[in-house]
Amino acid sequence: MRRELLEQPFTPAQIRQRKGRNGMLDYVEGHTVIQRLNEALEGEWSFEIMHHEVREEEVLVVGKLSAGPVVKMAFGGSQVTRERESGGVVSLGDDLKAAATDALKKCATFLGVGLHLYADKPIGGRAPAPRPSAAAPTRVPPVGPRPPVSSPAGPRPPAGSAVNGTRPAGGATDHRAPGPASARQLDAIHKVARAKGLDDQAVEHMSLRVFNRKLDALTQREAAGLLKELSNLKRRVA
Amino acid sequence: MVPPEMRQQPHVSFSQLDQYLRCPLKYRFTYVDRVAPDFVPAALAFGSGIHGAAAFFLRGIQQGQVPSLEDVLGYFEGYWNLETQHKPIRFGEKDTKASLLDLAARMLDVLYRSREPGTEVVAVEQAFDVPLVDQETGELLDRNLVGALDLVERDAEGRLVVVDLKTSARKYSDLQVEASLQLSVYSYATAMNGLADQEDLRLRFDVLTKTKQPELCRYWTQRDRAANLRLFRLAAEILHAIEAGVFVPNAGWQCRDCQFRSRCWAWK
Repeated sequence: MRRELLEQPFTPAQIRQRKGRNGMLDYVEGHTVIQRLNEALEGEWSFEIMHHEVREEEVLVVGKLSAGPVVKMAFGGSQVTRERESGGVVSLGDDLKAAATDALKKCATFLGVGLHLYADKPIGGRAPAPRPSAAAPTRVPPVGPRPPVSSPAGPRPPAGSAVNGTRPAGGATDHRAPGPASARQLDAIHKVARAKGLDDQAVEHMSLRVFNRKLDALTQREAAGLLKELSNLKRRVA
Repeated sequence: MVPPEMRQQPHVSFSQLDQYLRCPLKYRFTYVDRVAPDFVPAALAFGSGIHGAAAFFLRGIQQGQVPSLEDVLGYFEGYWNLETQHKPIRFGEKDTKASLLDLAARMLDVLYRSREPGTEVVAVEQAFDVPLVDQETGELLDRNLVGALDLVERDAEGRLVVVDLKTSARKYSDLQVEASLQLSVYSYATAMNGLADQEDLRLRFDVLTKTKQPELCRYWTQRDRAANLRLFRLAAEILHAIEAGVFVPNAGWQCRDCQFRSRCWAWK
C-alpha cells in the first residue's frame, strides 16, 4: 500500500464542484477514486455492498472496502430520481449504483484518498512556503523542457528599446523560480479564475487543496502551476 | 476601441505583434520612436470609417433602435469629411475623396442588407485586457494582451460568435483565415474573458470587398489550445526581440503604402 500516493491531493482538473446544502462542494468523480486506488494499491483491493435499502426519496447502501488486512466500511446514499412530469421512478438501479459509488468514495477517504477536499485549512502540518530574501535569490533546475523566455544572462535592451514606448520589464515571469509568487501572478490567477466562473474563495480553496497553502503563500512555481490549471479549466457556468 | 486606461499599462496587442511581424523597423518608428507619419494612406482612413459606420449600425441593432441606411451612410460621410479635411490623406492613383465615398456607400449598403435573421448582437467593439498565459507551463507574460472585438454575436443556436470586419480589395483565401493571428488573439481573449469556452466559440471574418459590386464574404473558423500555445510563444519571442533591440526593415508589398518610407530609406 503506497500511502503517499493514496493521500496525494488531486489536481484542480480532477476536482469538480456542485451545489450542496451549505454552498459549493468540491468532489472527485468515482472513476478518479478508482484510478487512485488501482495505482496506490496496485489493483489489490475489493469493494462489496454489505446492505442496501430503498426508501421513499433515497437509497442507502453500506459498502466495504478491503485492501489486504485493511477493511473500511461506510454508508453511501443517493436521491431517488423521478420523472419530472409523472413522478415515476426513472431507474432504481442507477440510484443504487450512485449510492455505491458514494460509499466507495467515503471508504476511500478513510485510507486518505481525497481527504484534503474536506479540510478548510492545510492538513499534515506543512510549513508555509519559504520566502527567500530578494537579496539572495536561488535558482532551481528547470522543470520544463523549454528555456525561459527571458533570462538574466540574456541580451540587455539597448537604451530606447521599448514596448508601448516604455522599456519592458523582462518578457515573462520566471515561473520556475522558487521565490514567492509575484503580485502579477496573483492578479492573473484571480482574473483567470473569475473568467472561469470561480470566485476568490473558490480559488483560495483550490490553492489550499492542491498546494496545502493559502494563495498569498504560494511560490512562483506553485502559482504558475495554479495558473496553468486554471487557464485549462472549462468555465463553470452558474 | 480600447479604453485609454488599458493602453496606459504596459501591454501587448494584436496590432503590435502584427506590425512587428510585417516590418520590425516600422514597429520601431510607430511604437518606440513614436514618429509622426508622413501621411495617412487613404485605405487606412477608409477602413476606419467603414468600421465606425458598421459599429454605429450594430450598436443601433443591439439597442433595438436600428438606424436607417441613410443614417449609416451619413455617419461615414461625416467621418470621411473630417478625416480628409484634417489629416494628410494620400490617395491611390485611381482613388479620390468622392470615389471612395461612393464606394463606401455601396459597401455599407451590402453590409446593411446582410444581417442574418435570428442572430443577437451581444457586444460591439468589446474591449479586453487579459493575462497571457502559457497553458502548458503556467508561465505568465509580463504584460497583458489588450484589444477590442469588432462584434460579438449569438447565433440562432445560442452559440457565441466573434466577428472581425475587414475591408479588402479581394476575397480571402482559406489559408488567410486558418493562419490568422488576429483570430487566434480574439479566440484566446474571449475565453480568458469568460465569455465562452474556446471549443464552443466560433470565429468569423466578415470581408467587405472593395470591388465595383461589393460583396460580403463570411469565413468561419475556430481555434484550439494549440493555437493558444503558439500565440504565447510568438508574443514572447517578439517581445524578446524588441527587448534585444532587433528592428530590421522588411522590404515587400507592405512598403507601397508605408508612411515611414523616407525614414526607412535613410536607415542604415
